Amino acid sequence: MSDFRPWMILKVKDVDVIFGGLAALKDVSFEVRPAHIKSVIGPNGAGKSTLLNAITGFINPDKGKITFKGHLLDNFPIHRISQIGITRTFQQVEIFNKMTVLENVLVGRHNYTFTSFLDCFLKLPKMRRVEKLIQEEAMELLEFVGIAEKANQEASALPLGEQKLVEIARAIATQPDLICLDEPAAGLNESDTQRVAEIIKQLQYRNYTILLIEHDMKMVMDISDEILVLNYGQKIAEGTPQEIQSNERVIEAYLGGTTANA
Amino acid sequence: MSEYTILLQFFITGITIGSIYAMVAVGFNIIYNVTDVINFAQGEFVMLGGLIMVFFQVGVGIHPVFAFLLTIASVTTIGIIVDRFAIRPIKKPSVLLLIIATIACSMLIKGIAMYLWGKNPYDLPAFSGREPLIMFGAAIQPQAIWVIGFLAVTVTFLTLFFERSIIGKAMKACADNPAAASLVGINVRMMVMLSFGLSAAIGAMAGIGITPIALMEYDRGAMLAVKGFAALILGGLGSFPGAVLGGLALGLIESLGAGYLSSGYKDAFALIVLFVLLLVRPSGLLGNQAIAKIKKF
Amino acid sequence: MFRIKKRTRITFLFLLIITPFVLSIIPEAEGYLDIFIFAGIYTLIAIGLSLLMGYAGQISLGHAAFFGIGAYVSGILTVNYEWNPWACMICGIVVCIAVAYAIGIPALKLQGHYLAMGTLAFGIVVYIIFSEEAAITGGPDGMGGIPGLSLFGFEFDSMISYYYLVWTIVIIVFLLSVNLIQSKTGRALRAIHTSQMASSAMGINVPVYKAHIFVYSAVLASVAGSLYAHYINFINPGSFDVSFSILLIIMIVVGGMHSIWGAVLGALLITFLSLEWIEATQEWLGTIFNKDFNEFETLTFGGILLLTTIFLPEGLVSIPDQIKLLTRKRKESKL
Repeated sequence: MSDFRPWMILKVKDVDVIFGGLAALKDVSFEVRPAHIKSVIGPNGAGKSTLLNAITGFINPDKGKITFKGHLLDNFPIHRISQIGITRTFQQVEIFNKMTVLENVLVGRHNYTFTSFLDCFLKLPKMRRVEKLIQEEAMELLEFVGIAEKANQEASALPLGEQKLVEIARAIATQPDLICLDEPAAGLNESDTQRVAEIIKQLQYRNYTILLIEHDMKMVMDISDEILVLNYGQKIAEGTPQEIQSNERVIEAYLGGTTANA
Repeated sequence: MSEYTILLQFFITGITIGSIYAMVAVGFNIIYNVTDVINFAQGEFVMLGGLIMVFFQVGVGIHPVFAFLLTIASVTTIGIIVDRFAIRPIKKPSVLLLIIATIACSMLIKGIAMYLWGKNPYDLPAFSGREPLIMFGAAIQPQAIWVIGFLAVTVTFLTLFFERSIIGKAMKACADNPAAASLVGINVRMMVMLSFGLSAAIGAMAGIGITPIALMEYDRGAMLAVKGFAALILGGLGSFPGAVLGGLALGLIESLGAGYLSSGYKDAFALIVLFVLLLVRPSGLLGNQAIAKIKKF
Repeated sequence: MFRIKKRTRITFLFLLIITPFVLSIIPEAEGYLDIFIFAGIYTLIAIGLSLLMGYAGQISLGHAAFFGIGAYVSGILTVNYEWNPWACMICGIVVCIAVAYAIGIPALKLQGHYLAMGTLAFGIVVYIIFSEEAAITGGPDGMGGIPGLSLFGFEFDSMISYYYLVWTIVIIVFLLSVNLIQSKTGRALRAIHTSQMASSAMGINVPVYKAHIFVYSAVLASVAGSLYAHYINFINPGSFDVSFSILLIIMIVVGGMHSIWGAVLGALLITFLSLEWIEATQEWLGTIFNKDFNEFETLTFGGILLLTTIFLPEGLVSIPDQIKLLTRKRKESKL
């Protein structure tokens, strides 16, 4: 029996990830529609990051299939995943500290910076043209996330909230179809979290698909189209925010209700 | 001599020199386990053990047993000095910086050694004479038995130390999780210092053991360090039985290679083994493969 | 730290050009030109190594091997087969590229200590090969009779001409390397240095980039090796051992790892220290320490390296920045 269903942009089927005998993920299956925001929630240690790592090529599942836009992601090297159209941010912000904000986003443009080694080596006019172009592109993205005025500051000098925005801008720069966000609101205050939520909604509006790992329940319930709930590496529920809020297994897993905040 | 006795001879040589590599590897392992640092100066501790013993026993004329104790004490102190004055002062310790710092230490120690002892190799009287024991037709130096004995003592002591004693367990805790360890009241700095001291002591023992067989000179350290590291990787970084196994195996490979293939390339065997290992199976024979799950860069 | 000021560049260029003339005026300074030539050759290696270590954050404790390969390929082909020296240099480059890719692609998958040990082992093995294969390389006694260089009939047989040859090459390589740093490649390298995870996730093929920069640094070392061979006309394995690999590291660290100017500064300084020191102690100690001064160097350089690592980890080029930082702190504490 085929599970072709090409209208799903991401298909995860029966995925297992085992670390030294312990199953971090077991029989996880779900699908994501294009231009949807799918959130993955669950208590700490439920396997959310492992799932994200499996989708973005950082971990190779021991069992199961992950299909993206029809491609079977079979032990691809990480940079290939980016080239196919999946990008991500990191839970511990992994910006390039010693580079400027603009340069960070320019790195995101790496695969769309069409200069050859010789062009760079000899600083040919083509390189200057391309550099000018990608700088403009990067500035646009910085404007989109709202930190264009800090373009030339060293990235490490920015407050955490803005560093996360840099990461998001950098991720968008890779021209992805699917953006995986790993706890973008972690460590942020109310207003920064709002900003991030706004950006995510804007991205959806522009047809990006979002896979969101989050602990901030308010944000999750606000913006998600569908929510996937993991516990102890297994899927315990999947559905709309309303369905999840009233799901008994979910409430039980969180021991105290769905209004819990990170 | 029959083929078998030749083989046995190489085997014994291999085990003997392998014991030295094993002790260097163990020394590396202790520091690595507690600090995640590979101490490039490890080989110099071996060199110092040999040369300082020469100084006390031959130069000053102290009774061998006291000379032994004094030497171990001296080298241990030097090990602690290395930690205190070279490792600890580094403000932003990155792997690169730490590697460079330990290399600098090894250079300093080597330079001072050359100044104090010159470039000539030195000899020590064998602990129980040089009359070879004949076993199955092969001649064994009694000193070789001493060396292997040192290894056995080291392994026994360390096993007991890390499993039974409080300090040993504290050191292991630091290796696993220094933050948690310090929260529980373990003085991580002290543990680090201890690990350097302990490694130095073991290295010194190896040096004292091997000098009557292979002499000792000021620049032997670097090669010993590289080979000791190779042994550690062979056995599995982070594993004690691995370090021992790796050391013995490496000694055998080297001895058999030098005997049967090419003596000029003797040193190269260990290095090629190291290189191939690093590429193919960095976790070594007994190492932890679960770490390999997450894609290495 | 990555900004290279135009004024500095021009001043340096000016100083480089007039140095031989200044030296020829001062009577005792004849020998200094010789040192400058070596400094130039070593700067070439240092630039490559600086890109590898400072920008890409990878460590190589075996770069003397590539230096040696360049020298020996040039030496062997010109002496035994009478090839054109420039063709030999290219040959050396090709060999180094092949070896660097072969070693680099697998080795650079290693991290930190593994990489350090791996490159160290590589360097030692190559050294052993140089010493053992006496039939080809002349063994530990070395090989001599290596001819000098000439271009379109002009013979580089005077120190002044070789000085300009070497430093012209250095300047060209320097400028090209700066281009590289300021381009997409440079950004990718700096990204890799900070976070290989994030770089990968952004589509950078990390292993390939690391290999490329390793090869680039190997090529520079090879060219330096060829220039070296044709300059002193005699080479032996002793010049290409672990000590030299470490000396290269010292140049980078003392000068400043994260700046290509650091490489130049470090190479100049350490070369002078190394070659001057030898002369000074040679005179001072007479016959006691006959040939090999490496170990006095060992002590001194070990000390310099340690002090730099502890007190000035960013190298000498960072001194202006450090002063700024200190004066700012002082101002703040006064408020």
